[in-house]
Amino acid sequence: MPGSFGQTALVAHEGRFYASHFVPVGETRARFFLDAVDVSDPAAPRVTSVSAPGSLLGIDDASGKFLFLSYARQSESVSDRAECAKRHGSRTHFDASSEGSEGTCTWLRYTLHLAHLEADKLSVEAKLALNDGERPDGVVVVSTWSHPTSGQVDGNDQLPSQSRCSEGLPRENAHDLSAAKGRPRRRTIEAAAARACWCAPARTGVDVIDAGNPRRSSFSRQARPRRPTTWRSTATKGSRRRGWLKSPASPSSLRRIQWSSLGLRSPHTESSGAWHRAVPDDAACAFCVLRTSTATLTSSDVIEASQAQFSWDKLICCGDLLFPGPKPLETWKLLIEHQALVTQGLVDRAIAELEPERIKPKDAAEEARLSQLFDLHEQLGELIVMRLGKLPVTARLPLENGDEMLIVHGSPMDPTESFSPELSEDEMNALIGDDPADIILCGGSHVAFDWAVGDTRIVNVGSVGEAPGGGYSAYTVIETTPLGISVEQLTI
Amino acid sequence: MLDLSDASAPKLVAQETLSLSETDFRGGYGLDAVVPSGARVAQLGSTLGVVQATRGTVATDPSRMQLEVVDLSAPENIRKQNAGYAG
Repeated sequence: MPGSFGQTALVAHEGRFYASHFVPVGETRARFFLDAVDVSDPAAPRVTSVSAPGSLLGIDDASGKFLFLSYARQSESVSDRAECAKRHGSRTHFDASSEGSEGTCTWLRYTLHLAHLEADKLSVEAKLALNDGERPDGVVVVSTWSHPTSGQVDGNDQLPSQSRCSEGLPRENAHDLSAAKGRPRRRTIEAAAARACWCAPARTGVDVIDAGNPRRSSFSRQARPRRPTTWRSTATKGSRRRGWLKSPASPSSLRRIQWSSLGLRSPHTESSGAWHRAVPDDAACAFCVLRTSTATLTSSDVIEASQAQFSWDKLICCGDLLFPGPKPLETWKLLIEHQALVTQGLVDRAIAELEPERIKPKDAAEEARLSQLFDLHEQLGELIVMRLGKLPVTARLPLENGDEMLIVHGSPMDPTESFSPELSEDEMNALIGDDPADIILCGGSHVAFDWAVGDTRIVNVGSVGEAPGGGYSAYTVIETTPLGISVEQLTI
Repeated sequence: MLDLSDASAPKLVAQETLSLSETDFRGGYGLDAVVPSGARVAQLGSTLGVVQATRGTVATDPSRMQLEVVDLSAPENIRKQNAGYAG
């Protein structure tokens, strides 16, 4: 697991802070450690590390037992991506020599380890292997399980609170999966000591592990209708990038990305060369796509054209709204006039947060870009710039057929990382993370596509001003009905 | 820090800036992601633990985490100590 973020955060227990980390061993293996920081004397904290069976999930306060999770890579040969996901869930990696050919499906199997710490040595008391495709998220260990009440699991992907976890477990729906293979037997969960639980996000339901005697109780949310798993693209895929995703930007690199999103080099960067990424233009919108800009077409052109062809009801823009188009204020007024549903893009945030006065242009292109940025500030005024900085990063829209649409500039897991045709399916899955949305509407990569990854449909609405190759504008029209949605991607 | 001994008249007794990590410990991306756990700030009595983390991008630039211990036992003299922990 050398490429991943190997640490877990702090758990406080009996005068110590605990965390865990791993050290890569070779290319595919890792050794985990439990780190304990004794702060009985806060002025002189003492750190000790002991070998651990996996990453730390939590500590049961009552029993003092530690819950760890170990990871084992598995692989097998399968016919295609869909088969890989069907057999082992959405968190899989499929590698084939060519598109459509048989390849290797790789996935992880997780095992829970219950251990106690004595004289700075961990002793494992019990193990519980999770089912294929199961991965705990948002783990919380609770000391007592106090008569859980009926309720629905919150699809929120944050760490669940103890109360939410309790509330999320309807006792009448609990099943004991340890009792029998095949159909789980109904079992009522009584109040009991030392249970560890995790509230998994919407897709996987809630599981409870009895920390005194590891066994599983579980229930699933009402299954949502599944679409057939397909993998398709309306865009040219080009060569697929292999390997894992890069990690999200650190604060300093986020600044660099923000500067480069404006087409400028960071004042802290002395290096020369190409800009960090292609300069994005403004507005990636759906139902009608907005992206004013360097292209000859403006947002009003696209709106007029789309209105002439379709009678749409809602204008959605997936961020990067106003820069570097020639008429930012006019575009803003259009968005207001149509009561557009908008989310914040990198450029919007950069406009609100960065100070162009700090930049000394290094060439004519940067000077022109900077001048345009000053003009933008002058046209918009402080109030609109401030509003750009406070736009929501994501928005959600319930659809007639019961699906939920998520609107985001980049991706649910990282606003600076965009879905793009070069990503593999597991990279796409990683960017989806645990977000429960059925349809994700995005625009960051400027390339219009409509893909289904697992049970999530990803629609990149394209770009009006920065469509690949230039010379045309792309926008997307989505028709919603109680039976489903249709997506049409058009160019002008 | 707020003194709430008189709930009708809470008093601000001390103020300290904590540098919270932007990393949310969600464990990274992809198949190899570690399942996240714990919190960026944890408390033991009057002692806070605050973790700072940076994510690496590849094996040669590994993720790092540092722990700062904040002693709040004397509000007039809040002390911060790097625990020397770099996970």
